[in-house]
Amino acid sequence: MVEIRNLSFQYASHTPVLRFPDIHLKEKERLLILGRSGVGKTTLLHLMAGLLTPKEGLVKIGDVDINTLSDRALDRFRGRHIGMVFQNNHALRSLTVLENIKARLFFSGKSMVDKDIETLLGQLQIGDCKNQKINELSVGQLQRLGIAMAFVHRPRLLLADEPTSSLDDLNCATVLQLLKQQAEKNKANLVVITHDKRIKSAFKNVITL
Amino acid sequence: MNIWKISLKNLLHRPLYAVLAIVSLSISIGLLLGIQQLDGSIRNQFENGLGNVELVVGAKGSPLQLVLSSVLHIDQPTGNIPYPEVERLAKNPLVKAAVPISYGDNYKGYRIVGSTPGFATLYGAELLEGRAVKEAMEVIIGNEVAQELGLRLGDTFLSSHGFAENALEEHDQAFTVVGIYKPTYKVIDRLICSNLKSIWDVHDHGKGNEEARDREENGHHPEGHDESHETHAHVPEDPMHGHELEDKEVTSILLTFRNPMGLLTLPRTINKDTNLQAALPKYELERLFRFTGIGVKAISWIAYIILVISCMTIFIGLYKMVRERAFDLALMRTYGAGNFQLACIVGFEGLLMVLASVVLGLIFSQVGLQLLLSLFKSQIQQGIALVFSAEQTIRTLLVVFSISVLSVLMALLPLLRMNISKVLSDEK
Repeated sequence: MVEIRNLSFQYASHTPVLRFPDIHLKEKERLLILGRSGVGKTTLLHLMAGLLTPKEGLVKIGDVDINTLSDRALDRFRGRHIGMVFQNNHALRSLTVLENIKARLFFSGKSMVDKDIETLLGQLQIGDCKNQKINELSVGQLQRLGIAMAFVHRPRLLLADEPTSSLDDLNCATVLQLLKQQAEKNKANLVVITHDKRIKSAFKNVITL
Repeated sequence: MNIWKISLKNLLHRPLYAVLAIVSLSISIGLLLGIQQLDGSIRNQFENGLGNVELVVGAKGSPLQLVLSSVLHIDQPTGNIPYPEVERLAKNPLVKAAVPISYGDNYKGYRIVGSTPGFATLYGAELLEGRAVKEAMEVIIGNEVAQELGLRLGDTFLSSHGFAENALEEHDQAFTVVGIYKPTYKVIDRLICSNLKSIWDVHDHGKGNEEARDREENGHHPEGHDESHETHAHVPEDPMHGHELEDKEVTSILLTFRNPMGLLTLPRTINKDTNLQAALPKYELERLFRFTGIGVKAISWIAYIILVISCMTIFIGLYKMVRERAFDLALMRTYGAGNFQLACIVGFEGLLMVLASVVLGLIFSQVGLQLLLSLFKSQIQQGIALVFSAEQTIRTLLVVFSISVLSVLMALLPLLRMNISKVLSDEK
């Protein structure tokens, strides 16, 4: 469950205050936030992830108002309950695919046996490159790794920032399908922010900023 | 997976930078530890080599030369002094022991010293095997001499004139090994010890030959012989007769005192009232170390400069890494890593480099010192026992760690100031 109320943010005293609509998502509900560049889509996503502190308002994930948590508690909460997917799916460049997944689990304080990790990588069709370094992966493989990293710790909330913007139609559909599948499987809320209108029809809940 | 493993992987991801930083830092650590250990070892070797000798009396000249030649046996003697001075000094109530020594020959670079049984007492030398010298031309060899030359009891050898191995000026009277000393780690380990009569006999014999040759060639008696032989005393066959000893000479006299008063008064008296020179070994060595200390300090400063430059390399490398990998670090924050964990990842990376440098630096210093000492030994037949000072090493490593940790902490500053949201947005 995700609840956002009266949320606003200001980068600096001389910049305008950004105000965001109230959002209420029940378990497993998905939401698409559309908007042109510069309206504050990413800011909203970062407020939901606890990476920014709001000027005022409430961000509640499950029963927890994340802005009442201490810095370290917020880091832990984010690690355990939130997954994030980025437009360019970055991973830690010094580690292999498998090591990246293990690092993700380590920081979130969760664990998974190698066999289960390999099963997950197999489901995402990157099982064969588990021992490859990040710079040896194709863009498509990186995208899949990004999704694996976002879901491997079974989060309550998945936040995807422009996950399809740089993809062609075929890959766009594939990535969207994977996101929805994994969210369904983990009973997680999925929030996607984008300016990519191709995916609008895939969501029942759409907010335009 | 853990933080150390991530740090190690990060380090291995940039091998060139890691190798350069580690090698430069290890060179400075090796240089620092090496020069300090060498300085300490030489000091220890010299101070230990003094044995119980409190004062050395010899011919006028440089007091340092007198100490180096007569106590440490690494320089040429200043000249000879009359043997009766030995008896005169021995009768002084402040003197506990007056040990005359005479030398000027060597066997394969190891000096042959003629003295009394009191000579071994000065260095606390005890027999490992064999017996004491009873007759002329008998020797007891130091432990290092026995090891290096493979001499055994009953072996005989011919000595050469001077202090370097020299087949052209070989004496024709053979010495016989009758004893071997236990190792003392003092100068006596590399000496061949005999009695005074042996030295006098060898040179009397040489003198006899030269005189005979001169008589044949020139038809008259020479007034003396080769200049370098003047450092040796000449005595009749039997040194037991006091009147015969009056004409003899020795190279120097090593003294110990009954109480500190001797040390305070006798050197001044000798230097002021006689034609002899008295030198205090400890004082002269301190003077020597003050001179050599300048060189040691200069090398130490160079090592410290390299250390600072190496630490700057680590700082710049880590600082650059934090900036270049800002997104990676921000990504780890989204994974749930706290600032402290990120600081640990970067800090451990620096620490791994410092640890690798310390290990490599220790290896550098030990290998370098062994090479240097083997060079010393082959050049000047002076073996130096390496002394490891844990206290000094720890002190040096603490300085290294402090500077390194400071570099790493400075590199962490941009990490602590990092705006995660901005980094993620900018890289998006």
